[in-house]
Amino acid sequence: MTRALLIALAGLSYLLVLGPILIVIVTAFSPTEFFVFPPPSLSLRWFAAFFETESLRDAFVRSVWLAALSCVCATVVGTMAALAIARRRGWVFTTLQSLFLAPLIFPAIVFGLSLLLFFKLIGGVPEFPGLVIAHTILGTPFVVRAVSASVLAVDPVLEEASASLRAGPLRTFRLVTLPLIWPSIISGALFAFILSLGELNAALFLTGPGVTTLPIEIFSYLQFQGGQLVIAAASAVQVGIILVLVVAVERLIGLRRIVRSPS
Amino acid sequence: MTENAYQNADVRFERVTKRFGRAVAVRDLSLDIPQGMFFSLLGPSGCGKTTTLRLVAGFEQPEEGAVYIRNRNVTGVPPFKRDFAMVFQNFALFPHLNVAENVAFGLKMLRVPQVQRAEEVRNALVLVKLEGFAERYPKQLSGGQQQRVAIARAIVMKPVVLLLDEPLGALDKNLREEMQVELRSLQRQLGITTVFVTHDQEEALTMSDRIAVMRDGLIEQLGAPREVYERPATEFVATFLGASNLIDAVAIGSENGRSLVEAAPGRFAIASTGFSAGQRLRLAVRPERVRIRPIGASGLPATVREVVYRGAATHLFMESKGLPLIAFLQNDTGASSGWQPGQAVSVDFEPDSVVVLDRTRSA
Repeated sequence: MTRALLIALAGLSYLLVLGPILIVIVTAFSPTEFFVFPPPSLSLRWFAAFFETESLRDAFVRSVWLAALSCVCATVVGTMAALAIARRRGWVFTTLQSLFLAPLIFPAIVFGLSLLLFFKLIGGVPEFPGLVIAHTILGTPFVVRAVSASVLAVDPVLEEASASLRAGPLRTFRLVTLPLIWPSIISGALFAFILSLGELNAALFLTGPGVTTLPIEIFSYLQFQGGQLVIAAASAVQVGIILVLVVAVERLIGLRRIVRSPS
Repeated sequence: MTENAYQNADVRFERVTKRFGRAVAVRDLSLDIPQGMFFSLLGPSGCGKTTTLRLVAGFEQPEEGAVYIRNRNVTGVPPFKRDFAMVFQNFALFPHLNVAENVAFGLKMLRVPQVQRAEEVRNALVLVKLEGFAERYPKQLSGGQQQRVAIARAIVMKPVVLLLDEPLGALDKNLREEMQVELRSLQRQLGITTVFVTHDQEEALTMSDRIAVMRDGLIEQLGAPREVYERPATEFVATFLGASNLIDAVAIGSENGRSLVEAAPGRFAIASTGFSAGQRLRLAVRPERVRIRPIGASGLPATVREVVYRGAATHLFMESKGLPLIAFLQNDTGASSGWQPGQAVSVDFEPDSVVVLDRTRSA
């Protein structure tokens, strides 16, 4: 009885999470002019429309670049921060830890506004670099969290063992620490990438005419042009990219796990 | 120390002090460890033995004094530039590398060419009887095998000094005793100067050429195992290394080149001399040196409280005028059998099995 209830609850949860996404993706393949569900047949018509619409295509390419760049920056900054603070104690490092995690709890819309004002104050920053900075800051906490956890799981004695075998700090990092924490660096980077790809709130303040991201473009497209199905195709492309990345990372890290703990 | 001993010291501490905040881990330590010696640092946790080892490695730096490895002052030199190798308490094998890669790690750092490296790794694995395990990962090995990999990884470096930080602590009892003998014969075979940290007195006695018994950052006594065990200098050493009967006594005179002392149970002779009459002494007698005879024989009168059969030996717990006494009797002859709790007995010991402890440093 309880078991049946739990299964039903789990099923409902999955339905609520996955249902809407599935509807959007299936709809993206619809040949019809307007939303009909289920679609009578399948076509790539709306994907073609998406890539033929210049504003959407530009925004898409820009978003992917933005996500890639800010993901790299956030990963570098976040990993370095995690390495520096994860094992240390004392109020200085506790404070630093909180500061690095602050963007997680800070409303992104307020953050976007404050960043815009800050950029104005220092004399203006072009839109794209501004967006990279914003998304780097928003993505960093995910990397810090993921990497900190795995740095704490690395026995510091391994680094001493490495030093006892004549490896200097850099080689110890490259040959011992990094191989042990890189799965978490990759998963932190993945989060930063996905966050940037879908981020709307901060981007609202930092984009300008001609320099928009895909979420902004989708937003305004829906507001002013109402073409729902091309937007479904845009969403499907986004979901597709994320899925490919997640599967790739899972295989990468999963494989690594198999190598590391063969039973 | 003579000039010669100084020349041959592979590890040398010169008035080294190490503090952690307000706590002093090592106090004004001066020490020479000659080439090829198996040297043990023995003591309870917090006595400074591990800190001493880490000072050799460079994982800790002293506040005062200097540390030398084979006549090179390494004070302030980072660990990776010092000529030592170490076997860590929990082995500290790299989990992402297989056995051969673990052993080859240090040789790679020394830029030993590939061919020679493979050769040396193979030899080291043969030495620790792990040939055929080269491709395994640490997680696929038993504790004893991991231990051997850790040893191979250290000795393949041909270090001036090998540091062992309680390397047997993680193994179960049988394996530990086996590894003690193996490690010791390996060390003899290679002739590597070795510093061994342990809190296990039997391990220290079994393996060492010399033992330094440490307490509160100081060396209480330094000597060969037999010397430290049979002639403990202080009450701490007498009780930390095995059991001892501790007896307070007063010197009352001398006869036949021996001193006569008076303790609560009565008078007896000790081999040490040079005490003034009335001088208070703290004496130690090892339980296996205590002899028991039926009451009426010469000696101190005592009453048996407890008889504990321990297989190889029988432990007798006795009391003599308020003074507790223990005797360990070998179960090889009839000497140990037949004693009953409550029985009155006569206790004595050879004058030269009584050790006079240094009272100024007693606990």
